[in-house]
Amino acid sequence: MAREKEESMQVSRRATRSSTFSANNNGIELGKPNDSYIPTLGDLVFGQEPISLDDLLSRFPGRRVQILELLRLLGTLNSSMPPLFVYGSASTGKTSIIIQVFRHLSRPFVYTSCLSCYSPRILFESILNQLLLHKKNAFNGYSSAKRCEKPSDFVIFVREALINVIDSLKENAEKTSTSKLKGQVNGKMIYLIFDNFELVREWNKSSSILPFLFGLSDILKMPEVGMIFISSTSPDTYHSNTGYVAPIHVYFPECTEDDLRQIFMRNQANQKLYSSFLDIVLRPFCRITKRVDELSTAFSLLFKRYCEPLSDLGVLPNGEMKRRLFSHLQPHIAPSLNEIFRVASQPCLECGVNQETRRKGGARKSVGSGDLDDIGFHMSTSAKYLLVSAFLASRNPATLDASLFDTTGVSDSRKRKRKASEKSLEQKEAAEQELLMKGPGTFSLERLLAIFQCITSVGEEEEGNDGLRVDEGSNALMSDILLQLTSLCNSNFIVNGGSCPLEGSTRYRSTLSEDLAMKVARSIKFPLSKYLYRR
Amino acid sequence: MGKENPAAEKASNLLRSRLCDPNFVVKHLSDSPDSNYSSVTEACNNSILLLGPRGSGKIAVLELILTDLLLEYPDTISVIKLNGLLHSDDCCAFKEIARQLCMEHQLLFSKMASFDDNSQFMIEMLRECGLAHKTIIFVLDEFDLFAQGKQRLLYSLLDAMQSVTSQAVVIGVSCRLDADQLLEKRVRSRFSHRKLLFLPPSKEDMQRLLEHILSLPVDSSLPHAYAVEFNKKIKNILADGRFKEIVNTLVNLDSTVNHLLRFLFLAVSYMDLESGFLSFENFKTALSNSHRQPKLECIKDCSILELYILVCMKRLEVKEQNSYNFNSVMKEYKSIHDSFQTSDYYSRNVCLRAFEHLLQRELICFTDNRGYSQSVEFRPVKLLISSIELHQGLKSYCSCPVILLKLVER
Repeated sequence: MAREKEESMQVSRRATRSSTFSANNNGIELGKPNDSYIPTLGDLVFGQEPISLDDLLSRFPGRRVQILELLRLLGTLNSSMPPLFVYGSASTGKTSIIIQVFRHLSRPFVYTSCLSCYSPRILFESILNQLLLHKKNAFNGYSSAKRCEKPSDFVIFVREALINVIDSLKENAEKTSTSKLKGQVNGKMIYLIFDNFELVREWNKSSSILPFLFGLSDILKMPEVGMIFISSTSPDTYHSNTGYVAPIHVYFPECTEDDLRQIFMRNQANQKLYSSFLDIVLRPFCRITKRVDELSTAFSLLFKRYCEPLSDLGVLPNGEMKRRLFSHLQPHIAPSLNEIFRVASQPCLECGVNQETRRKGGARKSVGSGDLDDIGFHMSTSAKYLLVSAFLASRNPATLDASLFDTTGVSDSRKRKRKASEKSLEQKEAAEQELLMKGPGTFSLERLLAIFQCITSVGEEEEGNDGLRVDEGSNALMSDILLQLTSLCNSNFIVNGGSCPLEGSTRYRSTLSEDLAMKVARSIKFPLSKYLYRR
Repeated sequence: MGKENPAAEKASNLLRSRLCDPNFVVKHLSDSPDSNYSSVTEACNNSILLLGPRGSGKIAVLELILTDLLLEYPDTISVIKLNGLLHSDDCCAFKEIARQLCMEHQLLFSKMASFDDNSQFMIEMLRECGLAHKTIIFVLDEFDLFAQGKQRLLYSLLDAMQSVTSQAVVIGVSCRLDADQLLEKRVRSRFSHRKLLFLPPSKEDMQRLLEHILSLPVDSSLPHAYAVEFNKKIKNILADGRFKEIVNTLVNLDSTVNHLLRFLFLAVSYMDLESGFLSFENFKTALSNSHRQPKLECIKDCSILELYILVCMKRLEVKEQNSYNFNSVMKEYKSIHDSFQTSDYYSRNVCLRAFEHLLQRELICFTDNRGYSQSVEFRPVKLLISSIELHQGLKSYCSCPVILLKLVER
């Protein structure tokens, strides 16, 4: 009953063209094995100079409690630990603090993010690669050390790999010195860190993978392995039929205003100037959001504006100067609040100069309305006409097309105003409600093209002969139009709205908001409001 | 951080490793099921289910018994361990059985063997072992996961045990108390309906356990005086009425041993390493840390605009609108601003982004699963927190605008 033992295959089974080619052709140089970097045990540590505790605490102002709690739970060298579950909303510093804590402790860890490892197989192979100190390079065809898809295989491989690593850590610990060297590895324990863990819930087999990962420490039964899960949602959002091993929870709250002030004051050249700036802007902006990444983009723009009247940025502001700067900034705060989540793209920065000249011309336009005529992206005229037709097709019911787009030109399709009775008012409200709820309607491709033809002929009439030259080679233009339509679909201006139940042809839906449609129509000088169906 | 007390460090390490090792706890509490012994000594086939809530120490007790048995009868037992999370697929399970059998008996294992090969191998091994009077013990962890699907593995295992020549024990471990109801009729008829329930320990047992875990060994490498002092302090804490109250609160929430161990771990991690002694304060802090209310914490994290959106959604629910989406919420927001003239009126883009933050925090969610063709503004949403939680959260929110509290109370 003896069975053959087979060597485990190291290279992936699919032979890519390059690997077969290079295997056959000896003249081609492969990646030189001498130059490639061979990872050692020291690679499991952070890899730069370890930092002291004070340094660690000063890098993360306002996070002192959490850092100390983490240090306490990780414990002194070689003390065992049940799995940790670190949670808190986005941009609260969980990942960076944990990595820096490990840098401070100089303990080896294996970091995987469930964002870049988006399936169980990639997650398992990434962990194994790091544990087996395997680097993907041209020499081994960018393949993983072991092919591992199922949790059962993973447990076998990872147990082997962990035993090897722990043995080498033990050897290393015997001959360690007390000075803090770069790349020095402390201790005999190794830690597995799983970042972005909330994404695992959306994987295909999450009902079995989640309890498996949570219970991995129980399955392995190795006290020298510690596990840390980082998640941006709280632990009660992880549902499981029969529950799982409860880890210890560590909570990262959002930064308070004082914390935010400390964070923003770091690395500022002129502390007093920035502090007076924060006095003005921090409170109103914190009412909208407390996330550091969102606030920092808004603040950087505002600070530039704040410093405009100053000729010398190194000056220390006194009371009078502060008042002057405040009054300069004041009108910009309110509109900036409404633009807080907008990230300026290049054209807007240039427009900023134009807006300055416009503003100096008298009328006090706010920043928001200054952009009224500027869409912010470039599109060809026919694409704009397509967008407008898609918007009309979604907004108007199909039965109205004939009256709106009759061939005798633009006609005013408004009904004669009758005295509004109560019932019709109620109907109006219900219809409005429905519009709010249902959203834009679907249309078929033929309808879209028909409306497009009507609109462009209207446009041509209105603009005379410098408008679109539609009749010239209109057949060629039609294929261009279809290409335009595909690119609009790809950029999500038009989405697939499901298929028609009777015919089975696909229907589309426009995702344009009314504001944007108005802007686009204005830029091609199309009277959109005349064609909109108002209930 | 201050003066390091090496004895304290060693003590803390020792306690932590004890708390992470379930076997230590179980040794103290164990009451061994004798049925396993009988199977080995009398060479009969048996099956048993160990049931109990998660964390009550079933696997730990089993490990204890298995180690004892292996010591007593080293050559006549082989143990095969399977886990429902890993091996619920029948092919996987048989492959794993074959692999473990090969490892035990120093045979060479082929990864390429097919499902039939593996099952054939297992049956033959059972027969051989039976003839040689060796028992094979199958431990099936997460037994309820094996009972999903066609239950081929269970059937073949229990069927193989019916023959006279084989000597096997099947031990199923599950946290579902109705695990045997999940079995098919033919599997259930081959299963001897023995169940062992793992009940939570009684109060006296709990007290003895606490003392056993937290007392340092007096005759070990730790300094004698320190250990004695430490144990005395522990005794005082355990006798304290307030401590008993803390333990009662814990047990009322979750009476498994694991829960208690996690609490003790937290307390030990708070131990002051300078003085090297556990104090009552450590236990109190550990209790407040282990009883968290995640949704309230979430609400405290929200910004004021997000609170506005939550309150608007609450009001829409109160008005009995069955389904509402972002646009309806915006309408409500505008109406609040119009009637109360609040200072917090922001543009639609800003509100949409705050809405998305709330979705990320999982305080609200979409009610349709497949509506991906609609943009965010039109998909119906619902609140994931109750009005009580919202109310509590707003009350404990520092600098909450008064208008919101008024609106929620109505």
